[in-house]
This record gives sequence, C-alpha cells and structure tokens, in this order.
Amino acid sequence: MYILNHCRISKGIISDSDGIVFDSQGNNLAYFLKEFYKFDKIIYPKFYKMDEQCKLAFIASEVLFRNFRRDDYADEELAMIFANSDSTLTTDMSFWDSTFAIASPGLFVYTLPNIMLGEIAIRNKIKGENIFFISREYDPKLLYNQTELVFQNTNTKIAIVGWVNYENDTSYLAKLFLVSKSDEAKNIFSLENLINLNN
Amino acid sequence: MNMDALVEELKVKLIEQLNLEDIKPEEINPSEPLFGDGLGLDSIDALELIVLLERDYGIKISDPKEGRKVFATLLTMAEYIRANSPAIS
Repeated sequence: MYILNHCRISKGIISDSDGIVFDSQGNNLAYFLKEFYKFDKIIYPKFYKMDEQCKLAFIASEVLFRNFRRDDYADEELAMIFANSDSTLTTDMSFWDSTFAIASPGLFVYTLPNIMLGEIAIRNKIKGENIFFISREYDPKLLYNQTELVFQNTNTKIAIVGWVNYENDTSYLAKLFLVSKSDEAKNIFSLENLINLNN
Repeated sequence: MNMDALVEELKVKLIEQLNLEDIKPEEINPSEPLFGDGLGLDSIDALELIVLLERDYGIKISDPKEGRKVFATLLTMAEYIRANSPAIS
C-alpha cells in the first residue's frame, strides 16, 4: 500500500504531502475553511449547507484529490475508511436545541458522522466500500487492518483513510491519507502513518 | 404587505434559511423553478421551506402534493402565503 497524498487540517493550517497549503492561524474554523474554499476557487454551493465537521472532511478530501487522476479509476474502486471519537456531538446538541421550537431538517442530516462519507462520495462519484468507526480511544490498528482487508477482499484500488473529529471551533483535526493498493509512490502506507495524528 | 415586498422578503429568507451564500437576492428570478434547474434546491431544502412557512407565516403544509405546487417558484410561494397566512394582511 502506498501513500499518494495526505492532508492534515488543524489549528488553522492545511497541509499536504508537499507541505503547508494554507495558513489561517488565529481564525475560527468556520471562517478559515470558508477562506480556503474561496482561495482554492472551489465551486460547490452545497459546502455552505454543511456543518463544520463535514466542511472539515470535505476540504481535506478536496486537498487530497488535488493532483489525483480520478478518471483512472472506476467509481467502485474507491473506498473510504474513517474514524473519530466525537461522532457528530456538536451538531447533535444544536439539533436538540432546535427541537424546542421547530426541528431543523437541515441540521438533522448532519447528526450522523457517515454524512461526511456521503458528501465526499457525491462530490467525487465514489461508490466503493465505506465505513466510519466511532470509538472513545483512537485505534489506528483498527483503521490500518480495515484498509488491508478492504484492499484484499474487494476490488478497491484507492482508499481514503483517516480521522476527522470536530469538538469546537478551536479543537478539531482532520488527517486523511489517499492510499493506493498498487500504484507505486515514494511513501509506503504503514501503521506508523496512522499512529501519530499530531504530525 | 404587497406582493413585491413579500417576494423581496422571501428572497432574503430563502438565502438565509438555505445557506445560499453564493447567491444574491437580485439574482433570484421569482418565476424560475426553485427545484431542479432553477436554484437547484434538494429534498432537504424542501423540508426547510416547510419549516419556514410554518415558523414565519403560520402556515402548515401536510400534503406533499400541495407542497409541490406551492414551492414551484418563489412567486407561487408568495401567492400561497398571501392567500393563506394569518401573519400577512
């Protein structure tokens, strides 16, 4: 398994395999991601409807796919394997608050973490395997093993693997890898890549 | 409130409620379809419009067939509000 690209978003900085892509330290997440959306000239109006966690996953996937030859693969050959610890707790609470007046359908759709997979799948026409793990403690081995399993047992050739977690506007982290089963790249994907989320 | 004022009010509410940040009120043609080719709204947006009607204009829509006609364009929405809202005189 090889790493074609990776993306990390934390503390106002977006980076990929080549280094820092965008630096907006000091700004809150909502502002920061919107700035990047404009900076990168992304045109996808649905972005504005997403909650912050989904925007975080969406922007990370946009960075991952920047130089990726998407058309080389069938829709069914791309998989997604994600994890986090907070599920969609922040939006769950916002939705709960909205139920005291008239519940918001627009908020409700973001009360399941796999909406992140759905949004990325719709944007990139991904129809392969997908799974979202939620666990209190981060389990990199589970993510790694699942990636191996998907590559071994399905027709997956490319997988997006990693962590997207949002607690609040200052505490959030996305770290995603674009992993190829066989396209040789300079970096081999290993458990070590997943173990440390902080670099 | 006259029809023109209501249409202008609806444009602003639509943008706010549906997070249409790339769209300015003057860019919305009241006669264009809201769904499909027009503003490109989806099924969740339709639910948000039902919430908007109930919350801001005191109108409940429970029949999906009725909703389809009401939300055809911004103009049909405004006409329906004018005819049915206790909040609009």
